[in-house]
Amino acid sequence: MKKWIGIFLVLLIGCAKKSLVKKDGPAPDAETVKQEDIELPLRGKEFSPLKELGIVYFDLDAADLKPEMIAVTQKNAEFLKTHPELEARLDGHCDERGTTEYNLALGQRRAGAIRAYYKGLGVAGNRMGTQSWGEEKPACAELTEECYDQNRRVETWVRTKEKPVKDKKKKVKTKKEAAP
Amino acid sequence: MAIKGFFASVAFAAFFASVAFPQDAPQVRTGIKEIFGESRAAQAKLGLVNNPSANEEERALSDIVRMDLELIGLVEITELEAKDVSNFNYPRLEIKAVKSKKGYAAHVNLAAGQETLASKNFNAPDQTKTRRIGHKIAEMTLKSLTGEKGFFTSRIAFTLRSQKNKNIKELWVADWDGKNAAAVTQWSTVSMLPAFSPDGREIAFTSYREGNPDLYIHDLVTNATRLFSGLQGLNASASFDPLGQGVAVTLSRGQDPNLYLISREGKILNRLTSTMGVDTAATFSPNGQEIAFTTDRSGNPQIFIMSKSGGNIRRLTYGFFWADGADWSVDGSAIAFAGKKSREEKFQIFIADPLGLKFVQITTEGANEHPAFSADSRFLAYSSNKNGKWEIFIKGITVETPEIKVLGFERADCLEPAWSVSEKE
Repeated sequence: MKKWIGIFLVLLIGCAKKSLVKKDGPAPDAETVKQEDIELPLRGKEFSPLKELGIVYFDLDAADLKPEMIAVTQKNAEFLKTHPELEARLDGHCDERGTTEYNLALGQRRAGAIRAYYKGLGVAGNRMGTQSWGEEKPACAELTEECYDQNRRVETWVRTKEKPVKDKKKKVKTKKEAAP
Repeated sequence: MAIKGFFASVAFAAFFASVAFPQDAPQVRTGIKEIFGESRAAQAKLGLVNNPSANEEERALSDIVRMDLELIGLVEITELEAKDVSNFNYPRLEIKAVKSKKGYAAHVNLAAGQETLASKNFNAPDQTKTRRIGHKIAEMTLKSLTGEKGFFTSRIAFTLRSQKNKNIKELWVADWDGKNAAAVTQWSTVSMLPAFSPDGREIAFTSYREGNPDLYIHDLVTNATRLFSGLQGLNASASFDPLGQGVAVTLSRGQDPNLYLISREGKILNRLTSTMGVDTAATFSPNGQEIAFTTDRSGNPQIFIMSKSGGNIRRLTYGFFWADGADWSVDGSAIAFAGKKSREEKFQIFIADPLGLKFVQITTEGANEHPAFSADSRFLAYSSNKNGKWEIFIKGITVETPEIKVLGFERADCLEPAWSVSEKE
């Protein structure tokens, strides 16, 4: 009996908290985004693929996750969660059957869809940035259906986060990087 | 001359009428009649005076003028010997080139009988300017004879992809006829999707130069390139407002790609669409009041039209499996796009009137993408792979012309043409 009351109380508090957050939260139209939801800036950073991170494939002109891709997506998210030292770039790609211009937007949509999926599985949004390559970097160059299937994809590339360092050290580092 | 002007104003009036009264279809048909492929006879006659002792520059200039005017098909050219000039009842063009201290000076005279219709001097510091001067003479002549200027001093911007390294695309610019092609970027990354400013001076394009697809603007006069929109995520597909200061672009900003109006400094002025899915490839109407764009909100990508502020959304393309990459003609009477009617087909170039009442297929061979209208709305440039690699062709719409290959390179693809207006006089 006590147990039941306990659960009831937890539910009640849970609900109360939720409604509070809703009331105090930003208006739905406002374009303010929570700090942890802001995309990781990718400018000037080098990322690499990892064999532990699988490629997610899509149907023609689609950005929704295929049932057979759920497992690899979950595995990727799990890997990112257990490696908090990594940050990720999600690269969206298309086959060449759309136009160049549309594909650039479609690749972005695919990358965004996977980022949202990882986020839903508990990976912090600000550890991940999205990037579309449209049809510019095909994985397979032949003009066959099998090749097209391999090209409609999102790849998860990673790098080790820069450790927070003291200002002095950071300055020296940027100078070094700019030197060559 | 007067008749030509009359037709042009009817076309223009009909376009605006169509915006105000969409139900008033017959008026629209009058306007688009001309652009939708009814071949017409030449509008004017011209005698090109042949001097047997012409020097090298004079011959070169005459050849360029003849090529330009014959292509556009509005002028019927007769070669005139000096002895026939007095018996010729139509305007005649005479080109004289005199060597000067710095290169040469070209004296151009367009006359009918004793009356001078147009006359101009062009100074050429060296022979590399000969093509440009020839195109200027052709524009001057055409304008004087028909009221239309043509597009002979315009340029085509495009991207060049080496077949050796397909991961690199550079931005290039050439004269409309493919001559004087030169690289704008040498950044060894993917640079893509050029778009000209309304005055033809600037080119906006996307590049991954700094590791993010950012928008840049290149100034053809100063040769300076600057970052223009560099938000995290996608910055692409610019279309300049032809009358205002804004630029319609595709941004993702942590969400699906949507259309925004931004300033030339990259400041967001207005969000135009807020849909799940893809909204991209905006093109302004020439009066700056409407924007055609590609969206997958109804399933596969189709072309929709909305007002400049994002309202009054209507679908333009029906009957296509996929319709994409619109370009609105400078005279407002037609919208060109790449379309296919089934999944298996290759893209072809189509034009439609802005109400979507009629569709005309322009290309048939190979895959054809990325149409761009000439400044006079009579020609289209597009990329085609019908010869096994991507090349840029132009083709007349109002006159039956064969496709003309203007840009093609050994072991390289030419893609994504954008076409500027003519140079200012």
